[in-house]
Amino acid sequence: MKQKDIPDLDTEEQQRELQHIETGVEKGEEEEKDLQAVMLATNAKFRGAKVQDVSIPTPDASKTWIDASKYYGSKYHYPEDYLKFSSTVEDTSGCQYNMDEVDNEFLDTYNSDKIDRDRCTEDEFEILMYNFERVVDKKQPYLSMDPSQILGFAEIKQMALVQDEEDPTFMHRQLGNQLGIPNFRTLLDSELPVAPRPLRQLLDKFGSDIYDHWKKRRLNRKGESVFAQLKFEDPSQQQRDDNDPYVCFRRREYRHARKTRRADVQGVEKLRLLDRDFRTARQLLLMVAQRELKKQAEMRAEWGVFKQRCAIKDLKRELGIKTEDKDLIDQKKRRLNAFRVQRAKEAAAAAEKERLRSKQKSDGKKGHHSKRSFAQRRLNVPEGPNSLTAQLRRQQQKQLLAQGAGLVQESASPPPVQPYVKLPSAKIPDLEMTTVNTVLKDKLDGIKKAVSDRIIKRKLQDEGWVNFTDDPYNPFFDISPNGEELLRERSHLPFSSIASSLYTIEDSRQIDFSYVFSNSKHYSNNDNEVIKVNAATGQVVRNDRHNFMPAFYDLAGEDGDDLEEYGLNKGSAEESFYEKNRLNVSEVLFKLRKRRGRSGCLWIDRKRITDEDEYQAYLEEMDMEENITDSVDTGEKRKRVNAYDARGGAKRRLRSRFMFDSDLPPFNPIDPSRLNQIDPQTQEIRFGAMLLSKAYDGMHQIRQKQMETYQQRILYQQKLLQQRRHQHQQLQQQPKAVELANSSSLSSRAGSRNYSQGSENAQNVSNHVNGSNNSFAASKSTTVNQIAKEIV
Amino acid sequence: MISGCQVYVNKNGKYQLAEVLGNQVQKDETVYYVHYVLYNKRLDELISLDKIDFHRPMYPPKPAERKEKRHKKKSKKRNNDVKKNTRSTTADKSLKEDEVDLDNLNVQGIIKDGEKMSRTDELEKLRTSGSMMQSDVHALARMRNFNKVYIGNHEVEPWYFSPYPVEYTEDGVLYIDDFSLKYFSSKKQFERFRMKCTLRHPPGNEVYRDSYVSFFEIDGKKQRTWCRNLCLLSKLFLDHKTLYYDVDPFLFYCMTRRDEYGYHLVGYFSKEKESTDSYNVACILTLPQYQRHGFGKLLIQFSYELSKKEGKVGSPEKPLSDLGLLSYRAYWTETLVTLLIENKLTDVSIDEISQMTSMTTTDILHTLQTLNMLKYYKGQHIICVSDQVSSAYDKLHKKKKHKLDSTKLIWKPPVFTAAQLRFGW
Repeated sequence: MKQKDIPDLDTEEQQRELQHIETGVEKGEEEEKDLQAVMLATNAKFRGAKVQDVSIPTPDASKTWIDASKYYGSKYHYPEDYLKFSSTVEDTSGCQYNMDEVDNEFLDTYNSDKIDRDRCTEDEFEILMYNFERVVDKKQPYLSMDPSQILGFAEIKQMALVQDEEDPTFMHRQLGNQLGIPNFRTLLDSELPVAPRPLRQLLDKFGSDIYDHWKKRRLNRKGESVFAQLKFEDPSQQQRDDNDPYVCFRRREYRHARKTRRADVQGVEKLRLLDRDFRTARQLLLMVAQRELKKQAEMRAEWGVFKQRCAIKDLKRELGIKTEDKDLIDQKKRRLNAFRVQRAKEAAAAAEKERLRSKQKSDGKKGHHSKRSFAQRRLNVPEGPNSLTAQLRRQQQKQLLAQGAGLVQESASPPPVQPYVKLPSAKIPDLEMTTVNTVLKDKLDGIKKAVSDRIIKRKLQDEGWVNFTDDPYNPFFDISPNGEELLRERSHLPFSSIASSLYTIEDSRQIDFSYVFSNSKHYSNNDNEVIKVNAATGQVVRNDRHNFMPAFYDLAGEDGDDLEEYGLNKGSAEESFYEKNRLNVSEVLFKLRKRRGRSGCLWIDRKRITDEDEYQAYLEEMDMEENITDSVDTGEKRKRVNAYDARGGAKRRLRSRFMFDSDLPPFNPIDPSRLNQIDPQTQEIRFGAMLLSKAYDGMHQIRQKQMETYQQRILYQQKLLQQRRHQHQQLQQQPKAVELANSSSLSSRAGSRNYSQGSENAQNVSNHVNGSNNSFAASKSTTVNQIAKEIV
Repeated sequence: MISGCQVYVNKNGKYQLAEVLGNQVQKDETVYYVHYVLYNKRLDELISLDKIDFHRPMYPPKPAERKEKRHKKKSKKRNNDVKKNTRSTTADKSLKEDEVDLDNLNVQGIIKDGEKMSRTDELEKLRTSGSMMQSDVHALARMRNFNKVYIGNHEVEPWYFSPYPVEYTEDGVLYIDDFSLKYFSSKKQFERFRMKCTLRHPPGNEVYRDSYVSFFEIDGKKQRTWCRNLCLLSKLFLDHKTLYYDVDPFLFYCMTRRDEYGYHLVGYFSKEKESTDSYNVACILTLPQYQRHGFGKLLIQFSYELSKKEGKVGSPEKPLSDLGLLSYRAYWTETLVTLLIENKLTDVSIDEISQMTSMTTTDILHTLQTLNMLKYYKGQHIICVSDQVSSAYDKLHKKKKHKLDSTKLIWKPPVFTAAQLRFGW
């Protein structure tokens, strides 16, 4: 917020003095006057006061050192990329001994009576001094205890000549020998005007004299190294010299890991691997170095060739020789095996001779000139397969069998076909290279296809079944912050867990549930095959092929006998009721109410939101019907209708049971995974995994068997039904066709395996319906027909 | 004159209380090394005897145990009633000294042990936390041991003691190579070294480069010599830096400027490879010859850029020096104000700011408080960009200082194994 946005800040302000600000500066120093002055000034500045800039005075650092340019001369070439560097100071600073004024004086006097090669250069002097120091530091680390025991020159000389593998100069020499470079130098070494002579030579020549100088200096320092070093912790002393401010960079001691045989073995193994890796790396680098050397040689050779050609050209121009410039241009380079090189060379030599002869003829007068030029040219011609240039040519030539063959046409022998010959890029057939990625992708696609095939197959198998596992319950809330006034209605909110929270849910009927479904990818593998269930009635919606729940899940169907009546007794009220309830979405049709029951038990009640009128009418109709059947069926069932036997009553009970029960039987003995009391989440995962497994097939078979038995039962019931229908038709000819259609469609739905029969049934029914002049029923029957076809 | 006593010294015409720390003989004349009370040690200097005003009161050295208390008392009293106070304090002191003596007689050993303990405790802390700070210093280390240092083409006066080899202090002059930071007291040696040395940049990987500066990352364990040289050099200008332990547990981020000769070190900060206290900087220094050019702020910015890349919040290790505090405050202020004004943030919490800037919430709060931006308004605390702050921002914005470009930072937070983080060897 800006200050000007809050005009009333100062008036309303009740600024509290917050606790003292920790500066992080030491207490003693916090009070220093300069710091305080600056801090006060900044404080004042931000509180609106005008202050001068104050700063903390520091000692002078502005002077420049004029002599510096003497020491920092050479320019530096910057790399394009960010610099990467791992060499140490020691790697980059040459000999680790730097002579001082005393040494300089000594060396000057020492060299004064000598000339040229007998003089000891500064670099050589330093090498000698360095080696004396190195040997003594290594062999006599405690020389300072008794300086008189210092090694004599002979001993030192002997030891100095022992190769020290850690010494960079030794490494340089070794590498130089391996690569055939006499004066090995890395980028990190500075360019010395005169290369120092080898150590042995130096020791012989100057050793003893410089040794005396060195010994004097060393003894002056009481056996310490000639130049002072940083003071480190003295490991020989028991007590730590904490109080000496000059001792610095102590080692941090840490507890060593306990030594075990295993750790030892592991360590050895690691070292072994490391050693191997280093050897390989070294080998590689050496080879790289050798290659680069070869390249360098090649470049040099090419440069030489070029210069020679220039010379020839000049000569030619000078002498007015007008021959073809063929040998001034690089011929197409070819890889030839040794044999072919020889052949080609012979051919070339022959051609050369030929040419030479003709040239000599034509240029008879200038014979001596051309001889000279020929001699020069001779240099350009490869001398033989073993000559350096020929080797290089062969190395760098990228070649093709075809052209090689073309060339060898001159020679009689046909070229041997080599299996490993490289084709020129133009000759390589346009094979499409398969990359690892495409292979992997193909594999993945295959897997995907297998899965989707399985899913399709499964869908076919599940025809007529509702898969609840595929249809997760997706509650949709419009969550928006609410005011207090909305909280009053919380008890009417549909979801109990939410009801106790601070979120409001809009009237469920106003929520556009289609959003949920259309956006839910889970459903939309193949949208028209999606099965949706009305949460309230357990009715299948949208997908008209599956108009009814299979009996397996049907609440009413739990009692098999009930169904029989159910199919028969549907009235128009029921029809319209279902018609009304056939929603496009699984709308929430009930409210939830939380209430505290006896003994503090928490209950959740459900209450329908939809109007009860039609259902009521349906129930009443059923009651009526019951009365009618009662009255008609005088002969067989003459006993009084018990309230509990009345079907209308049963429906009512069922309905009220809905208020407190869950939709589905809580425990489904058929699903094997349930037996293990696995929680639904893992079960989902397991189910997914099961899809592709044999176990699922097995289960499916069991289920099918169950289905078949159930269908048997239905068939039996249908027979019974038909019998009854005849009775009914006799008794009441008019109204029941519609139920019939419904019941038959139900049966056709119930048994997917039995569709032929189901369709037959449907056909029968539709015939019947057509017979009767009920237009509504007719339209219904057409849909039934369609369904039947689809099933077939 | 005993070291430890306090006298009034004529400094530029003003008399200031100063503590005599030591003396030496220069050209047959004894000169005294004095520390001006309530001024930073970098202003300590050698003075001749005639600068000392013997007409004003002098204070004899105090016993070490009471130092703390005395210090506070001293800051309160001033010139006019010094005499009276002196008498009282001296009287006081003798009495107290007696007491102390008694105490000491009784439990001498224990007290000494206690003192030792605290010291070892501190060392232990140094070892385990990898801290580069050490507060308790030896008397010798309170005195500057070099008078002049040549670095590159600069001639710099050192500020504090640094444990270069004691033999080098004889001349009081040090030649330091601009690239390898190697030190010499002999000019000839320096010359010889310069002829041989080919190093032209800090010996590590460049992690940042723009037209103005480059940053290098250097592992203390891999570049021991160079990092030791760097630490020795920086100790000349950092009072609270300790070189007690080795450089292994630190990474050094060195800021350099390029010219035709190479990358010249401008400043650096060290950072623990593994900080238990979520410090993102251990020591930070702009070399004095480059100070007051905004390099410190770049260093600080870089340290926070690294923290951002690590996804951590961080703060510099304490104690800060006076200059360090001011630099950090300036950076914090600038960052916060820029963030608040430029991004027009209206609804932002301290935590969110911390996420955006990698600054710790404490640092943010403290900065806001010093800026007087934290107000209490309608029952809650708000961050209020005051008019002074916005005007300061405008002024700052006009200056067009160089800023680092985070896209040019090519860096992955280095990962170390447990074995690599054990620093004994």
